[in-house]
Amino acid sequence: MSAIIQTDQLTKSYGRSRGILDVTFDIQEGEVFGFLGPNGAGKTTTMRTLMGLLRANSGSAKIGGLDCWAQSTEVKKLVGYLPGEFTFDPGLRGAQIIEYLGHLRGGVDQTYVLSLVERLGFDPSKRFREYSHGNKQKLGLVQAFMHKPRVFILDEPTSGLDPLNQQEFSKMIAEVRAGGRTVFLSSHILPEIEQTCDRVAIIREGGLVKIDHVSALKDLHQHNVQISFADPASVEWFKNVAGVTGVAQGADERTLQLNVQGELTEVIRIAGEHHATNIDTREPSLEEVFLRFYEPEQSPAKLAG
Amino acid sequence: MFRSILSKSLRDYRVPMLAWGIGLAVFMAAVVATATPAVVTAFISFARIVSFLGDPYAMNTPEGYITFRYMATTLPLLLSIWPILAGARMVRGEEERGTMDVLLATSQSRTRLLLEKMGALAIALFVIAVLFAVGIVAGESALGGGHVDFVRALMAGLNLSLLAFFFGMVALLLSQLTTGRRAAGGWAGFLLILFVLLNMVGRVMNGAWVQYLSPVYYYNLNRPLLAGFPNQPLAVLVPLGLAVLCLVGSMILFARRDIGRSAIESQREAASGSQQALRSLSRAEREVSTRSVSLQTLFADGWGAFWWLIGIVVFCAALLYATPGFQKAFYQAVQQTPWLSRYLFDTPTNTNTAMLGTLVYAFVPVVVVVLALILAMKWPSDLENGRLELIFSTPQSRQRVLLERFGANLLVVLLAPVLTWLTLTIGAQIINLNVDQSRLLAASFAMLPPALIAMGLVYALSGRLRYGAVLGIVTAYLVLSYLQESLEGNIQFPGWLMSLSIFHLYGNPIFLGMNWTNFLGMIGVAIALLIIGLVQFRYVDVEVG
Repeated sequence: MSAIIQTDQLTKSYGRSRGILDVTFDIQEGEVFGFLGPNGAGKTTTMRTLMGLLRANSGSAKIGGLDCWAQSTEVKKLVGYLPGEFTFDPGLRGAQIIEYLGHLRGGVDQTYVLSLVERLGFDPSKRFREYSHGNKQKLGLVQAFMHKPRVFILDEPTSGLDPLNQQEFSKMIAEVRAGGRTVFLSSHILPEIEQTCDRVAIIREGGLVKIDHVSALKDLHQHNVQISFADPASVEWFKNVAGVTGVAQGADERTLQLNVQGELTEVIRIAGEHHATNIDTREPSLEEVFLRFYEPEQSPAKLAG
Repeated sequence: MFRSILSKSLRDYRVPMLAWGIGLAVFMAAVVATATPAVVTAFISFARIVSFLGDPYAMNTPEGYITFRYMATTLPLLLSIWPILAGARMVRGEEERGTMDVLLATSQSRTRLLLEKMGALAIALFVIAVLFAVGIVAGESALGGGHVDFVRALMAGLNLSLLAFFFGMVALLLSQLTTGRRAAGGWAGFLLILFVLLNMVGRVMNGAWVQYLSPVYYYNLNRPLLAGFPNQPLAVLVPLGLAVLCLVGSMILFARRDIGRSAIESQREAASGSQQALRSLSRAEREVSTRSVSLQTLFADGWGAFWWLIGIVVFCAALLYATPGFQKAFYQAVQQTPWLSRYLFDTPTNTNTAMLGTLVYAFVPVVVVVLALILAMKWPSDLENGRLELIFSTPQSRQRVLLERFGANLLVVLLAPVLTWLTLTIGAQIINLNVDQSRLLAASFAMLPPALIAMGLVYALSGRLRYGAVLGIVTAYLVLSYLQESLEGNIQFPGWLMSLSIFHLYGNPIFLGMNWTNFLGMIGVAIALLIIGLVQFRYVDVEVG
């Protein structure tokens, strides 16, 4: 596989407010790549920069080897884009918008459009202002998929969709992946990321903090450990142990709660020295992993692609 | 400022309120200060020619001159534009932006919401009236004083504001019946032109009954600036009563209708299914409007511009129809006034053409420029509202999208001179009126370059500035341009300053024929502005919200 989306030290700032800083990642052709981060982290800025809507202050962004700013018209021939928030002429009907964007893109198969409309249960006869948030999102998905692009850039694509349509969307993504096409999507729905994405990048305060396979993220060897002792225990025993990122007194004076990154060998050895009676370890859920990265007070080392 | 809907609405109105108020104050101060006996006397003979503008009373006084020349027709027309826009977007604008749902999710009733918003408009118009009066008093002191005091100036301002408020309420009512603020604004603008026209026709036809249908007639029954004029205070009840009726109608309709829908829209059946989808998609596939950005813009602009163009045609046709009625008086006035006689060459054909020019080409160029501004302002508005986000996700270059939008605007604006020329030419043939065809052609098509400059300015500024700033700057430029041209006879501006006014550069093609230097120069400036817009837009971020 070759990289179809590449960003290198991509930086975009809005005067005094933060945008994105030195964002570097590659997305391989045929990959479904998830983009996670809290509100205002820089997900939309990254996507809009890739679409040539924003001009990067420094660094580069390429899709299919084409520069996203200088060759944006060529880039858009490859891409189906769903903005995080979009609006249109409120007086136009859904069908007119689909037809209009279809003409501007070219190469749209009407039979495929109809199949998308039916799949998502979208009524194209209403005016744009009459659509609910969910139906606007369906319209956005139809227009992003209708020309069968090589690359999809989807900013929170399931936002506002009901569970049935979310399921349908997952199927559409699976079909796209099976067809060897690439998806770059942002989402807040973690099970959805787990189900649909191969790799995931976490962005916080404008910088990438982690890029890895979804399975690897879940397997970061972070453990929540609860140790019970025969006698009253002290947090000092574990404070300076390598890998221990946090230690606190448990429910009573004989119990300690530890957060451990990496191997547990040293923790078990020390616990044994102090006559531990029980050790209970639990792996964090994906959600806990993400929340750990989201926490503002932490400043994990930034990782590049 | 965010304590209530009233204070929030007042905050929203602060820029237009101050811009219109201060602009009007400066204009009135300049007009009054320059209403010297020489200017007033010179205008008396000209007043007979422009008798459609007002009813002469105490014409040898500054207040008589100001009332006739500005207060009777021009200012009601100008000052009603903003209340119409504000009335049309009062609730419909919030609905289009999707903010009405949030507002109504609070404990405010719809009636109260409407009343508070209306209250803010009324307060803004009151402030404008006060500033108007301040402007008159300032001009008065410069002129020498003794003509108009503050109370009479304020009464005149309030009379004017009341009429403007009426048109705002008409737009508000119409916005309940339409699904978009543009349609409501267009209809209300059409009614404004129609009512002004009915009043004019009444004047020209000497008491024709049609003038009684126009609220502008009842507005003119009170002329507080004129001491000793037999005012009819009860006449204010007509615009006031009609405004209240419109408001009550709006309240009833707004309280009962669905948000986002028209009060008269039929309830469409909730249709779905593949047949319905197929039908809608097939219908859209056949539509020409979906083929390109330019065609889509043309069709979207078309409906709003349609009423403007119809208004221009009706205006031209009505004045053409009225021309033979006072042709004789006009011809006599030309013969008896040496400078006019020299100017108009004193032949019946030239006199007819000049008369039409005075009647038509004093107003239509301004209307065409305003139309061009409204059409072009949709570009920064769509940019700011994110309506172009999906368009820019298609493989269309930014420059192409901008050029197609500009081109579509241009085509619609071009219709205005074409229709003006056709209406006057064909109409003159029908009523057998001799007119100079080449001058009509020149006067009609010379309207295009000023409109192109207004459009070019909008596109040039939209690359870097937001909608509000673009609107403010371009409107201020147009008002100043108009002000300069309007006061040219009264104040000696330096030549270079005059050459900045597009209305001055439009000149008098109906009297003097086409000024090709100005025509081509303005086209060149418009092209330069468009190029600036294109270059700017190539490098800027597409910001949303």
